[in-house]
Amino acid sequence: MTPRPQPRPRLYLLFLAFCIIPGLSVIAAIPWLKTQPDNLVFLLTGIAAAITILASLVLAILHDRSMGEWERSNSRFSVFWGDAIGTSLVALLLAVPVFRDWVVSIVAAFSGTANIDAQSVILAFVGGFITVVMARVLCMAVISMGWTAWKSRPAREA
Amino acid sequence: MKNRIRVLRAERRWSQADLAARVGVSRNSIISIENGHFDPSLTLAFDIAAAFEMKIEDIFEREP
Repeated sequence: MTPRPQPRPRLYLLFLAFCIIPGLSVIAAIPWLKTQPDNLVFLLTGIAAAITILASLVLAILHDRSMGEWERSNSRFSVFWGDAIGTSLVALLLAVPVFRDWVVSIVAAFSGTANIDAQSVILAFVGGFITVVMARVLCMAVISMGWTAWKSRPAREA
Repeated sequence: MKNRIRVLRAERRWSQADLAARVGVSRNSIISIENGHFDPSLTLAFDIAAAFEMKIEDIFEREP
């Protein structure tokens, strides 16, 4: 039988906490953050985002190691289609005026600005979205090339 | 890929959970393999064959 690492609940909980706490802390600190200089706000929110991303990455690795190949194949299917449909959904939603108005109203509410420039908000949103999509495509291409090269390496001498 | 897992299990009076425990996968994995919805890797196929003390080709058959 091929041994499979068992799930480790305490480790899961620890990294789950690292996923949740930074985001909640940022939300809780919004009134204080509004009084701080922009550079400090970007630094703190960037650190919070980095901790969340790293913790979720570790969680994903832990979960992947405890999965069997059938579960992994289901996960791969879900990730592939979920990713494609989710990304397409955002692109389609951007064509809907109600969605654009909602994005602008959310940004206006968070920034506390009454007369917000809707066009700038949408452009920033679209720019961010395109950046994420392009970065993912680029990283996938680089990792794919690296992984393919690694898996194509010659066999070790016995 | 066709397989004889259901028949072999029945001959040994093993439940799907029994086989899953012997092979080290979930019961859902066995259900999916048995029903032909999932083709196991070579490693898992070897593990299943070892559990039945048979050769892989006596359990799995490639569909034309």
